[in-house]
Amino acid sequence: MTWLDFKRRIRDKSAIITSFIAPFVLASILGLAFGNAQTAGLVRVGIVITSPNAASISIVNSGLAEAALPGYITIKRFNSVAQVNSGISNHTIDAGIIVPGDLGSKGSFTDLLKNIKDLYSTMFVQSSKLPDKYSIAVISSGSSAVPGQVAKGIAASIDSRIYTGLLVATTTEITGANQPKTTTSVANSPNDFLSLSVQGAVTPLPFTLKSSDFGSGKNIIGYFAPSMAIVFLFIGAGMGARGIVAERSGGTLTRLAAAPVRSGAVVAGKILSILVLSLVSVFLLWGETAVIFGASWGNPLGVALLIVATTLAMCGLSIFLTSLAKTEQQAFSASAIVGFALALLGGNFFPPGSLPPWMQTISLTTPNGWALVGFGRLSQEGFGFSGVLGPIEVLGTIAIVFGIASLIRIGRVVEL
Amino acid sequence: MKIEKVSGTGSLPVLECSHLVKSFASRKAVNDISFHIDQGECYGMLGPNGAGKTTTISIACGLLQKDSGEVKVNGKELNHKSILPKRDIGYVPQDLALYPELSASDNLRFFGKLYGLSGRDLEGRINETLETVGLIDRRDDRIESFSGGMKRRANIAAGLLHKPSLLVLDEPTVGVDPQSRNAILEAVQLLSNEGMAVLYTTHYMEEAERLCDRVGIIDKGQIVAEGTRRELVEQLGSLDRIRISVSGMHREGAEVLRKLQGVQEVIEIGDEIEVLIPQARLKLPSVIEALIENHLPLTSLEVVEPNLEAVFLALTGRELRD
Repeated sequence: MTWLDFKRRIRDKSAIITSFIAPFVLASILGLAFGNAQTAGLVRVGIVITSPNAASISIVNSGLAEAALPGYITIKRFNSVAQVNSGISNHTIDAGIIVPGDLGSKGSFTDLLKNIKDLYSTMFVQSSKLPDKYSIAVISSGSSAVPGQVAKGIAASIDSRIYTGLLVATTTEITGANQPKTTTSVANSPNDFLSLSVQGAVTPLPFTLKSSDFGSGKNIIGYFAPSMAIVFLFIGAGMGARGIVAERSGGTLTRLAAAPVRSGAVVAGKILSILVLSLVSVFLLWGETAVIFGASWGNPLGVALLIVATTLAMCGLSIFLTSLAKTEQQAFSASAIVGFALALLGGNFFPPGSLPPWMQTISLTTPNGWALVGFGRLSQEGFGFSGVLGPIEVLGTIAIVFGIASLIRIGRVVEL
Repeated sequence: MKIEKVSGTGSLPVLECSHLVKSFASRKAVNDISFHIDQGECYGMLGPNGAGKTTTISIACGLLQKDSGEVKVNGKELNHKSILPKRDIGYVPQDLALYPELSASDNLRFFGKLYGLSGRDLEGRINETLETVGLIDRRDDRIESFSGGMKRRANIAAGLLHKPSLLVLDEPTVGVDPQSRNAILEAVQLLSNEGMAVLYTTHYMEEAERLCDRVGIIDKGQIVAEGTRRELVEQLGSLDRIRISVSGMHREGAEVLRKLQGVQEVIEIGDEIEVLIPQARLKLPSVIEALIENHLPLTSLEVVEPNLEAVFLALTGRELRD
């Protein structure tokens, strides 16, 4: 029954478009559109200066001022790296910047410059083995590519401020003009610094980005592909369930009921064919985006299990809602309206991390919202299988509840 | 080629329905209906829309749960949860119950597998069945490309595929063009002649008269009369009628005809005379002879035998198509 029904469904052009073509096309378009784009939503960036002093605070403030941050970016200051990490985990911030705190041990501008010079001396010697303490670290939430890019830009601004300070100080030292009274002589040769700066050998402080490459467009497809797959899972399953309602009004269900087959087998066959088509469509999309765009959805085991859990949950919900309809038209409206509303509430059409906090909370009331959290953790944060157990658990519960409800409802539809 | 009709063996009826009752809310759609169909018999269930025909056959096919009563197919009890007895039934619903996006042969393949057919058996049966309904040349065309009548024939093919011993057809000719209608009636006649028991519901009196060995007249959920056409007419006690026109002399004609032996009644209707008489065709020569002997100018003559429509009208007080 499942195979026969599956064959029948894949001959339906609208099912092919909904299950295979539309998710791929939309994921590609959204991936390309948002791959390098700035965010349109609110981005919360946390900053911590390890062992801060007046000089380092001044440098960071100058960097932030230079960055001329727009209104949708908010900066939150933290006292420790642990607080930043915790903020990202709890979704109170979207990205964090960790600025090394030993730039000025005595808190004077001169000390700061001296330390910077020391730092660059080190760089000249061993630039490829730069110690971690001199790196500005940017960390971001995996469900979000845009905040990572924003934080990276702010870090670059701070970095640039440090570099500018270095050049000013070095020039001052060489020319002897406007020297601050407190300036002490620098042990190593300022001429060397200036010369190397001019030649381009002195570069701004590098910073590390503790995540995958957000801005390439490839991995944003790795986010949008499952995101679109989820939307079309709902619509596709709704179409399948609508087909059952149509079969009732069309009369084929009557013929099936007259056949020497248990009604349970008919129900199971119909629902299984919807699930099989849905699973095939998502797995195929995974393969297509990996081969064509080189997109990574993340840990394969985690992705596979999350696909199964998401498919069961979305199909269960969709089949249940559609089966409540009395006519094919009602079924169509139910799957289209609810599918669209869920996609908006769950955040499927938005770049990762671009939802304001209140919408992020609402998104977790939807199964697609939970699925996006899971797929975001896998593709954007680099979590392994264990990182998506939470979303899988939630989706599994939704799948069980609505799966049972769907079986009961479809059973009633099949019975005359 | 004339096919000898295979008649019942006198053993178990193919379908036996006893005291079926089914209510929807407070309305009794089927109220104590009993009937049986033997092998090779075509049983017509005649009644207007809403009389309870579809509900009755839905129960008889195990599609609908009955409130009470019993259905037996080839001696095996059937209810809405039965599996095995359903193998003996070929059901042709009133609506087109096929997948329009599949070809005729793919549809039959789909439904054939549900009845346990497979491989060469299935392919052979698909061809035979499509031959029977006259669609063999369209076997690979999608159902959605068929005309209404062809769809109906394909619908019947799906019910015949597994060679059921009982074929149940629910108003199979509604909305069908005359050519397809004729093809359907011929196919049913052929199958019945070959020994298949047929339960045929219709509200077309002429179909019931043409096809059915016995007819059950159903109204308001009850079988109000049952038997062969002749039995039903006799049950009613209706007489044949001879309609006669004698130009300008109907009064004189009526007087002559009243004196004829066997005439029950003579009615003058305008310029016409209507004579009520049993076995009118046998009495026709004496009627004509009497008119000629009395120099009455006979211009037209018509014998009207009582039909099921008349029986239905007499039993229910309603026209069949109401």
